[in-house]
Parts: sequence; structure tokens; C-alpha cells
Amino acid sequence: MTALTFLGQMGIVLMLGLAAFGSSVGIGMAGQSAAGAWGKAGKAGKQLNFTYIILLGMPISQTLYAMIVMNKLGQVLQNSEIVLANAGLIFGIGLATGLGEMLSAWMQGLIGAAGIRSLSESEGKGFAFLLIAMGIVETVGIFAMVFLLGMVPELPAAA
Amino acid sequence: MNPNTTTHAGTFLGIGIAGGLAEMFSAWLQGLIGAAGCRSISEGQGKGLVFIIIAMGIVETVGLFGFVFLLLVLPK
Repeated sequence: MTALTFLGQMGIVLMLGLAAFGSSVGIGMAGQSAAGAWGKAGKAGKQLNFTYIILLGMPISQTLYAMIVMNKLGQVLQNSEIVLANAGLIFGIGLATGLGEMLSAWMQGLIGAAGIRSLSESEGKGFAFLLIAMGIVETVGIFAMVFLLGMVPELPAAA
Repeated sequence: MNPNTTTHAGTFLGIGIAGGLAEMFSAWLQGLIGAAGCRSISEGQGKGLVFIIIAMGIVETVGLFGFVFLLLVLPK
């Protein structure tokens, strides 16, 4: 085994860790914001708003996008010659997917946290706009997944 | 030494680091939501326990994804 193969193998799995990190941070930030908004509503004797759950749960999808790229690259892993020949590319795909999904989820969580506060202060107005804003940053994660899937090295056709 | 370990050394180290990252931050942020949730329940006169549990369950799911997906790519 060479250092190049080692690097390529690491890149394939590291992306999932990075994406899960981003998803956790995003959900965590939006979750804290939601807890504050629920506390405020409970104190005022109002009914608690379930829509916050939708906003805080959105950053979870980026982990799934990273899983899709990881599984595709996992098939390449079976062929050690291709891993060796494309080690830099594979490591780069791993790093780029990980970063793309991590920051997409993180920033989605930040928009979600701000959005929950906005909903709480405006008594539920503007939910659709917030969903669109969060959908735009979600699109960045989808772009990262789709475009990097296009860079995955082809396996030779089975004889 | 197990030949699997030498052939897939990078994958094993990567799974270790990625799994560690996923579980560490899932637990960390779950604790933060829990902390905010305790304050929310305290200020909201006991309302909202179910919502807080759902929010903590979502971040728990990220941790579950982390280990299940990495188990799937574990070299045989």
C-alpha cells in the first residue's frame, strides 16, 4: 500500500464525518433557537409552534448527500489500481464534498435559527420565505453532491 | 498482521476519524439543545417537553446516520 492509496481511502470516508459535523451544528443552532422560542410562547401562555421542528430538521439532509457520494466512491474502492491512479482526485472529491455539505448544513442551521426567531417575533408570518431561503442553501449542498458525483472515476466495464 | 488492515489502512483511519467527528458533534449539540430545552421548560411552565425531545431526536439521528453509513463501507 502506498501513501497515495492511503490518502484516497481516507478521503472517501472523511466526507461523511464532515457532513455529519455540519448537520449536527446546524440542527443544534436551530434547536437552541427553537427551545428559546417555545419557552417564550409557553411563558406568554400561547400554544407552542410545531413549524419550528420543520426548520430545525432541514440540515439533516446534507449527511445523506455525503452518504450518496461516499457509496459511489466506495464502489471505486474495490479496484485498487483505480484508487492508486486517482488518489488525489478521490481525496479531493472527499474533501470538497465534506466541505460543501458541512457548510451548507451549518449555514442552513443559522438561517433556521434566525428564521425561528423571526417567526416567534412576527407571530408565525413569513414561513414560506424562510423555507425558500433555506432551500437556496440546500441547493448548494445538492450542487456539490451532483457535480462531484460527475467527477468520480469510471470503473472498467465488467468482462 | 491482518492483511485487511494493511490493504485498507486509510479507510479504517478515515472511518475512525469520521465516526468520531459525527458522534462527538451529534452528542455535543444534543446537549446544547437539551440545555436550552431545560431553560425553555422551566420558563414555559412545563410546556414543550415533546417538542424538545423531537428536536433532540433529530440531532440523535445524525449520529445514527454517522455510524450506520460508516458501518456499510467497512471493508469486509
